[in-house]
Amino acid sequence: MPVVCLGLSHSNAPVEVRERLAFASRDLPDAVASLSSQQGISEAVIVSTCNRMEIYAAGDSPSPAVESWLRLRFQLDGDLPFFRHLDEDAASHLFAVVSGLDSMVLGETEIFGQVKDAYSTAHSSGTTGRLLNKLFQHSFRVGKMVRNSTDIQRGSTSVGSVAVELAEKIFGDLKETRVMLLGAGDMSRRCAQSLQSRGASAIVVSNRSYDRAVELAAEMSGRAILFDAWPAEVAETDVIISSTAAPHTVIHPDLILPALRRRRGRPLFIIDIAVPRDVDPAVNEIPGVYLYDIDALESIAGETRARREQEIARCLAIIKDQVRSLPLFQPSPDGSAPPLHRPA
Amino acid sequence: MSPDRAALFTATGFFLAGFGYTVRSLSKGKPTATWPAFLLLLAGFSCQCAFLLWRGRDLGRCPITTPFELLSFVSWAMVLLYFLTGTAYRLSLLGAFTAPLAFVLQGTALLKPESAAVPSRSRPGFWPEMHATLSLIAYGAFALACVAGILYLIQDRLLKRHRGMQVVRHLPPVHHLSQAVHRLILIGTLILSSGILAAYQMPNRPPVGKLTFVWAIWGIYAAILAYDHWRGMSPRKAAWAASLGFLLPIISLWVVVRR
Repeated sequence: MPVVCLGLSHSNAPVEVRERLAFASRDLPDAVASLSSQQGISEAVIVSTCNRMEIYAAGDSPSPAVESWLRLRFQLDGDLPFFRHLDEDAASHLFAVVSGLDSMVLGETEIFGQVKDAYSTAHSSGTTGRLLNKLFQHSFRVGKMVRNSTDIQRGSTSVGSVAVELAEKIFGDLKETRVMLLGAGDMSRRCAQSLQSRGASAIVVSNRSYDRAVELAAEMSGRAILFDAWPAEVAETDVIISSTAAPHTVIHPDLILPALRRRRGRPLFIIDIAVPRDVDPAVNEIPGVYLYDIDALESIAGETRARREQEIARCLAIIKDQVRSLPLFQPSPDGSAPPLHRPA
Repeated sequence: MSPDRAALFTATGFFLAGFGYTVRSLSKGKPTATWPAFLLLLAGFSCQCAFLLWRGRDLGRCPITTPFELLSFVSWAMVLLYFLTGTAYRLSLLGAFTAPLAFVLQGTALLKPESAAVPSRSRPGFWPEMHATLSLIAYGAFALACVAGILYLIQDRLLKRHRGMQVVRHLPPVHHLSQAVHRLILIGTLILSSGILAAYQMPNRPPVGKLTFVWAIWGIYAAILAYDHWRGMSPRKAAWAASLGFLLPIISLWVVVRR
């Protein structure tokens, strides 16, 4: 019985198309039940996230049946913007998706849970059978295998996540960490939110416009202070995220040094995401103070992205082996699995 | 080969394997699975305990009568303190770096020609044994503080220079390391203080030279704690002090071992 994967993703469809062809999670059980009741389809799973909509179906003639169901449901005319994979290709595509190889951020892990949820919805709706059960359960094993035996998910790929990773390598647990925002820019807000999501408790916002500081502090359940008052807060702060629009440096060693003794050896992490920079580079020479500017953070994120790119070949080799060992499809005449490419 | 010596050989092998495992994981940039390294250290520690038990039973006293036994005992004390402090503060990698030091100490012990000999029974009494045992356990704490200090200096340098994220990821957080250095120095100094007090309870006091040396070691670590308490010592200075301060216990052990 053939298996088809038909769908679209961030790599072949812009967001305007993806949002039009997406399924809300509350509609999924009905949608997948409706799909599997089509003639030519005996099993079906729908994966619908913000970056992709993919249908996996098995049956006597799943491909035309899925296509006509989609045309009807979304009232589509003409050429469909879908990619299509059959049998081993569909399996290798699913394995790549579950492993994060087809994600916008290479190696991200969220997709693993999203596919698991999609499979679980289909399973509870009774639309999966022997073929898709085996295929999806095997894909979860492959996803874990790829992540455990390669570096595809290691490290941080965005400025915010690098900041969190560094903070954890400086303080360990972030639950007791106190964060101060100098300037109320969007990037510093996102950075602080990343730290908050990992447990950072107290947020203090200091901005030249006090009203803006109050607004941001309220949004982040923090406290606003006058801009002139920030040096007095350094002794009680663990992470300073600075992004003022000042044309000159704002944080100097003579403003940090007096607070250090009262910190009793607790380190201080300063993230300078302003351009021009807010922090005098000499601050990094103070023992126990770690200063990272936007270039330093970007460079770490870039190194991780490059390392993940280098891991793709290893991941694809694992997937190729796993598709070969999958007992669901007839082998090709020469006994080999079809060639694999990173999904375009 | 006697059973006690075989146990020490096996322990040394486990420590070498533990260190090799960690180095291999780090060099491959793989996540350091802490359980295999922990289990190897635990297996080594069990063999150390068996060694001390057999040796102590043969001697009828704490087995710290020869340089061979002294080195083995310090190594055991260091691993014991790792289990008491390292795991509690989630410094699992500290164990991986404890393993090579334990290997070096025991390897040196096993190289000593007299290591196979079991000395004749002698019972020095309660206070002399307490003095020697507590002093050596304190040395174990100082050894571990030295390891934590070195790890701190590596991690601090990498974080300051924005380099080597692959290594940074595998080392413990700098704040945990600086706390570990401080606690281990405090624990070591308290235990050594008890050891010195025990020396003054002995019917025959140790030679003045030996006591002076022990006081000097105590003085260095007490000075680090006092400076930190009253003036506030930066974690980097404390790490340097813990790393270099261990030279004195090393020298004292070396003097004893050379006898």
